[in-house]
Amino acid sequence: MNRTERMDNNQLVKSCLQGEEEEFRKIVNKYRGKIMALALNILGNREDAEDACQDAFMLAYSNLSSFDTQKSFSNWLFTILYNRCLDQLRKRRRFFKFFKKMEKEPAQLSGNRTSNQTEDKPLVRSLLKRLSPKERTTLFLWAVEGYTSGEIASVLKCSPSTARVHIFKARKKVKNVLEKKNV
Amino acid sequence: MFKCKIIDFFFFIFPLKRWRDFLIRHHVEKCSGCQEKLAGVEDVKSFLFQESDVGDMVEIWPVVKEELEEKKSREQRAVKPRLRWAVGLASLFVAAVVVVGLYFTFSPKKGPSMGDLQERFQINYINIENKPAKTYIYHPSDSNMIIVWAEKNI
Repeated sequence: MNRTERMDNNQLVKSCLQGEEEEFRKIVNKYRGKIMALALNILGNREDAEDACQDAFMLAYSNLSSFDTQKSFSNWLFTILYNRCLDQLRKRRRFFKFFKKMEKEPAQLSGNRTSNQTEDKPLVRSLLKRLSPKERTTLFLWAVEGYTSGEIASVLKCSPSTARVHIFKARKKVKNVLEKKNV
Repeated sequence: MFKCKIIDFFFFIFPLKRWRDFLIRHHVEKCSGCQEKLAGVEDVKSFLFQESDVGDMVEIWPVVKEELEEKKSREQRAVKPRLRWAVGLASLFVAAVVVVGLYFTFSPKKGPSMGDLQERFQINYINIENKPAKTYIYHPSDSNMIIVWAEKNI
């Protein structure tokens, strides 16, 4: 993230803290795509992902005063979302039947308009089963967002060396799946 | 390639994050053979959901805004009972102060003090069977009481 963008984000955060709720709309619209994509990758289910996104934005708004403006806002938001997604997964595990259904159709997106997206991603289902939520997050941040291991570590709240190991293991698993598919 | 296999062996035999990170930084990241065994950025991107895939998602802002407004109203509703309690407690306190004040204002005054008693207590004489009696007056030091003992003078 460049400095201008960071200053822009800080300005938005300050406005929100002064009670300008509409400024938060800008933040939501700016990050909703990225946030939703990460939630979908972690949860593999559109409804849960939307719930997680809403919760993440709500939590972000409620805890905006605790955000350190010297740090990256997107990292902070990703951390909130990641933790929300982990909570969702824990909840899902409690509902055994629901969990079973998700296991059968992990990457099924609800609604007709999105059904093509699942077809566009034939590997998602098999990969979601193989990768842990941490590895899915790591891969998304590394490949899609272009994050370094240090930045990934700040999102996952681990050390950069741990983040590097996660990236390595996840990339290896993906390669194995791709090779099996080609065979 | 032999070196890569040894590295692989050491990687899996010691599941220590720092050790594994050391091997990744000092060998895997530099070795083209090892890199070939890992999925590249484009490979990974091809199966991950990206921003462009979620373009037609439902609008989050209206839902978030609704939730925020609900939360605000919930907080306001929570403030009202608190305010009611505060007003109730303040009224109770004022009432207690008034009652205590009235009690002290209108309560009967205490009996005379020791000094007053001594000033007011006076016996001129005591007669028993028309003869002056032996009279003893006791005044315990830690009491408001005065005991008069009269004895027939034989």
